Amino acid sequence: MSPRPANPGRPVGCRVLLVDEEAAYSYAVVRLLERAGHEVTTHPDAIAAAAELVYVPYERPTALVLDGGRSPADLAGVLAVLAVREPPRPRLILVGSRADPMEAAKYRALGADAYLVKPFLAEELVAAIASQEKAPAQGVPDEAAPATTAAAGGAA
Amino acid sequence: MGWGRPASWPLRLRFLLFFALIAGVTAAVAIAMMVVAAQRLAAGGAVAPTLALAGGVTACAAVGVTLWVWRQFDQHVAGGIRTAASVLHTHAFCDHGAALDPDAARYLAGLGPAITEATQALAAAREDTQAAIASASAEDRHQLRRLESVLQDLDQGIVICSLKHEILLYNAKALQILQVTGDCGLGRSLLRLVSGRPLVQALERLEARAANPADEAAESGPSTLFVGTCADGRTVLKGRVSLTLSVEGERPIGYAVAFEDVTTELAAGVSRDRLLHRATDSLRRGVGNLLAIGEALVPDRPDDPALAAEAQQVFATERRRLADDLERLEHASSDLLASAWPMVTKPAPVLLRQVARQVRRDLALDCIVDADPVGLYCDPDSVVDLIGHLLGCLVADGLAGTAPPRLVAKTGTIATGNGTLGSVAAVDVELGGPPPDLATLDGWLDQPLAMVADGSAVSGKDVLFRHRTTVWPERMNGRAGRLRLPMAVSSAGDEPADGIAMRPEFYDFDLSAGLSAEEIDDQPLTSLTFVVFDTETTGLAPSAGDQIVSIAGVRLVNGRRLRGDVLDTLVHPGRHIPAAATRIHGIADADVAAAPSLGEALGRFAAFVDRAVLVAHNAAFDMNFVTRHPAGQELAGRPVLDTVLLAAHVLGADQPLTLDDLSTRFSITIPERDRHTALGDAVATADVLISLFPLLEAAGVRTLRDAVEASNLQAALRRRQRY
Repeated sequence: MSPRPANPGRPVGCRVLLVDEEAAYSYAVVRLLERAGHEVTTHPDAIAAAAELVYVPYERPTALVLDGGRSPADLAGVLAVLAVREPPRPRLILVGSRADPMEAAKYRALGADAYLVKPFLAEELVAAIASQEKAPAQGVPDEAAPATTAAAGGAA
Repeated sequence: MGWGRPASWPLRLRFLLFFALIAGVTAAVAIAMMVVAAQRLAAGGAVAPTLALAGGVTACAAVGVTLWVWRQFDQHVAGGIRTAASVLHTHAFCDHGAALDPDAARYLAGLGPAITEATQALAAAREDTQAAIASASAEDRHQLRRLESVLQDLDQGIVICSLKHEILLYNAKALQILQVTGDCGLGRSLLRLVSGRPLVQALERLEARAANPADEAAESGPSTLFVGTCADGRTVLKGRVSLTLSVEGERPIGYAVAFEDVTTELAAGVSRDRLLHRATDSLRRGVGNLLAIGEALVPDRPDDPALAAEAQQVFATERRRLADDLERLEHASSDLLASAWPMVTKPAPVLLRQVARQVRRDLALDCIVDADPVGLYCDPDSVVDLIGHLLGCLVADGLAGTAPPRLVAKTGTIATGNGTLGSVAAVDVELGGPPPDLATLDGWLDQPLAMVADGSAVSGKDVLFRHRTTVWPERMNGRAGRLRLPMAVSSAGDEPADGIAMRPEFYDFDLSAGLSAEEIDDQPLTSLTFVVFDTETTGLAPSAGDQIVSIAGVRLVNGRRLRGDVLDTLVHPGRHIPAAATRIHGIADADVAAAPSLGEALGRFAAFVDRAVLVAHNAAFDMNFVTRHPAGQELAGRPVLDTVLLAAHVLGADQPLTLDDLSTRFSITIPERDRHTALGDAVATADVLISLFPLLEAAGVRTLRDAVEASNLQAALRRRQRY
């Protein structure tokens, strides 16, 4: 998939929740995702993201992008919140720095829908957000269908 | 012989003279007294006193002469016999008895000199025996000293023990590594110095192999890897354990451990693992961030799609290159880790049973083991410690549940994006209760494990990095959870170093290295190195295109056949093997399809022979096949001994001299399945040669030169008989 031409007037895409403690990286990813037509909210840590997930139920993000390897506590917290949150649950996209298949299998078992190894291109992240493929949930109770907006964003 | 000295007269004459003396003196006195009595009676003397006088004198003379003869016999014969008996008795039981006094046996004729000869012969025989014993034990001491001096110079610690772990031999390095000051004490138990568990387990593995060598599924080989610690747990040892077999090579009588101190190596390895792991992690993040920032900074110019496309191209190319480089770096570092750590293949059931034992001992917790029989490629001790540590944490946090945990190993159960991970087994700890959460588990993995190396503790994460794997909690059906640890399944099946055939003879230092051919000629036969070989062929006529299909050689050093030093290979003859030949040796075309070519096999054979003297039964036949090929040329023109000719020399050319006949004669048994195989026949020929050595020596054939000459003579005789 190639980057979607931006449409600054009417953002049609997914609502993405990005958790990363590095501001520069967050800024870059936000710009890239916005350029692809997604609406992005950033949080420096998972507690803030979890708070949004819990307390702002109408802001339904369709995808959650999180560095899985940096803080197991953050990941555990997010997983716990997702487990109790009402469906539909957002796509969980984990980013990490270990390339071996065991790590991918671990995140898949924990409920991630996609695992991206750094370094990756913006288009790979966009593709992962837009993809409809879901993991068979194990650590997280199974949900119904993925968000319909994700399908709209990916197909556009 | 003169008449002057009675001692030199013949024994029987002397005895006759004594008895003649009794008879003569008694008779003479009796006659004399009768004459005297007759004269006195004639002169009118009284009858009674005359008769009494004559009878009395006669009786006195008879008694007197008999007493004198008895005294002579008692003094010279009985005394001499007693002295001789006591001398013989002394010599029978004592090395240095007194010689027989010649005077004592002077009147015993040949007995004296015979006794002297017998005692001298006995003493000489004794001296010979003692000299032989002394030289044999000197040889033993010599070999032992050489073994000891070699051991002392080794940089590895060596300890040789009996099966009861009593130390029989050790070197200085072993004392240093085991931190024993002074003498570690022969006969002391090695288990006092080394933590017992890994050592005993290694020995159990080896004994199981020795007891059941034919079991293909079992690991094979004479030694196994051993990783353990000193008794105080602070020094980490890594080495190999091998069983010492009895002289017949049948049952183990002890074991040898060769080890080194890898404590600092392990500590360095731990910090290097962490460094490498952090480095690749940080590189990936850094590059990822830079790439994202770079992509974001490309001006968002919808009016200039060419610029965006160009930038995208650059980033895509660079990203691919960097990702490839990082992948290579990770692979290189993981190879480095794998070679630095003592990774072995461990059957999953064995590994998990070991965990269960440890958990039962340390936590009084029973586990159920349910494992596929796959080989896990791992450092078993650290994996056992890791799983044991995790179970300990679960118990401490009250998460183990009430039901006993199950230790499960199954392949092909770990899902990825597309299918399951092949060549990976899932090692699961199935719990009665809910799984711990990720953060808790992460905290457990940061704690040091039991195995402490030089103050720098190995953590659970270190063990995971080392095995390039990870562990995570999962919920199974219902509330119960499990910890899942994927582990690589070994494709090789065994430790490569253990694939070497049994080599029980592990030293013989008296190898005559550096001798020229002439010097070898004059060496005693029993001190030479021989390679006894045999070939199987497609037929009997190399000139008609028949070829070798199998060649085997065994080595004989200092009169001993080395069991482990064997070359045995099939050979691709480059032609069809006739059914008639297959009926003899059982080798068919299909058997040699993947065998090395004759050139390759002969090259290996020549390398195996090296400088040894070649021996074969009916050697001309085999040598004809061997030297016909260019690769066998270097073996042409060297001395070759033929057991047929040597046996003909000592047993007589008219005796049956086939290998079977000679084997029967010398009570050598060839197992039925080894008959008419190259190796079986080579072994039998070697044993025939060993049996021939003493016969050859008795026949005056002592050196290689003698043996070659004897063979030439026999060959000439046989040729003459043939024409």
